Amino acid sequence: MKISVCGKGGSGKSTIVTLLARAAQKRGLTVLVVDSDESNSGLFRMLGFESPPLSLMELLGGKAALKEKMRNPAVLQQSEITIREIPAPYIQNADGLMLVSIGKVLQSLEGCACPMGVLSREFLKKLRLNKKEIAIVDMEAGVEHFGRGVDEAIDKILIMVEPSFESLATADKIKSLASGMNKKVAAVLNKIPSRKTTKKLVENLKGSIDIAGIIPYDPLVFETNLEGRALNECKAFNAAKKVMDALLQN
Amino acid sequence: MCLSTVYMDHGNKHEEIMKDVARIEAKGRGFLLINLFGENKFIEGQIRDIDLVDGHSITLENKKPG
Repeated sequence: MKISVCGKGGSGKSTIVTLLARAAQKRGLTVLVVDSDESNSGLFRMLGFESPPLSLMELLGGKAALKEKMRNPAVLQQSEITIREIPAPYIQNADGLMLVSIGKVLQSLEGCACPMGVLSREFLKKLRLNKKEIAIVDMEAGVEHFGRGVDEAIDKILIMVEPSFESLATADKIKSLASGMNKKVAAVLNKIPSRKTTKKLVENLKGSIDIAGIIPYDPLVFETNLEGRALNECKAFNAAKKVMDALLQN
Repeated sequence: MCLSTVYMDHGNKHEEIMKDVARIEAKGRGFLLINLFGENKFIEGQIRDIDLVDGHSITLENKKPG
C-alpha cells in the first residue's frame, strides 16, 4: 500500500508521516518513508536518523548532470523497483523503518523543482511493495504535486487538517483534485485542542471528506520538533496508531 | 511541468515520441532527445512548435527538403 500525506504548509504532514511510520513498524510492517518535499529538510531527524540519505536526484547525477548527458542509473530505469534494490547511500534503514529522499532545492536561482516532481512520480509508479511493506509519502505543501501527477500511483491520500480556515480551504481543494484522479481520500484532524474544535472542523467538512483520525494537540510533539529530536511515544502517537490500524483494515 | 513531451505531427496523427524530456540537442537532420533518466532517442525532423505553458509540448514535423 502506498499512502501520501498532504495538506497546507505547517499542518503537520512530516509529524504524522513519522508517527504513522512508527505505528506501521510496530505492526510488523517494513516501512519506506518517501520524502517528496523539496523544501523542508528535517524529516530524517523526526524519524531518528543522524543524517538524511543521499537523494534520488543525486543518484541521477543532480541538476548539474541535466546540463550534460545525465547518468544512467540502472535501478531508476527498471520498470519495477523493490525496496531492496535501492542502493545503500540512497536509503536509510533502522529496524525496518527506511527513508528515501527525492531531492531538495539546494541553491538560490537553481531553477524550478520540476525534475524532482517527475522523479517522485516515476519512482512511486515503479515502486513494488509486497503485503508486508508500506510506503508513506511526505508530500510538498499545497497542491502542485497534483498538477505534476505525483499522486498517480498512490492508493490512499491523507489530508492533514489543522484548525484554520486556510487548512480547511486547502483540504477542500485537495479533495476535489484527488477525486479528479479517482483517488480515495480521508482527512486527519491535527493539533486539536478540544472537542469543541473537532466539532467545528467536522461541521466545516460537512461530511464531504471521511475523517481517518483525530490527533490531539500535544505539547511533547511541539517541544520535540522545536529541538529537532526523534518523535516517539506521545499522546499524538497513540492517536496515529488508530489511524494506521484503520488504514490497514480497509 | 518544465520537462516536456516531444510529439511528431504526421499530418493525420500526433505521435508521442518521448515524455519527461530534459535535454534536446540538434544533430544533423534531427534532434537527440534525452529524458530525466538518461534514456536517449534520435528523431529526424524539424521543430513545428513549442508550447511551454499548456502541457509543455514540443511538436516536430518531418518535411522532405525541396
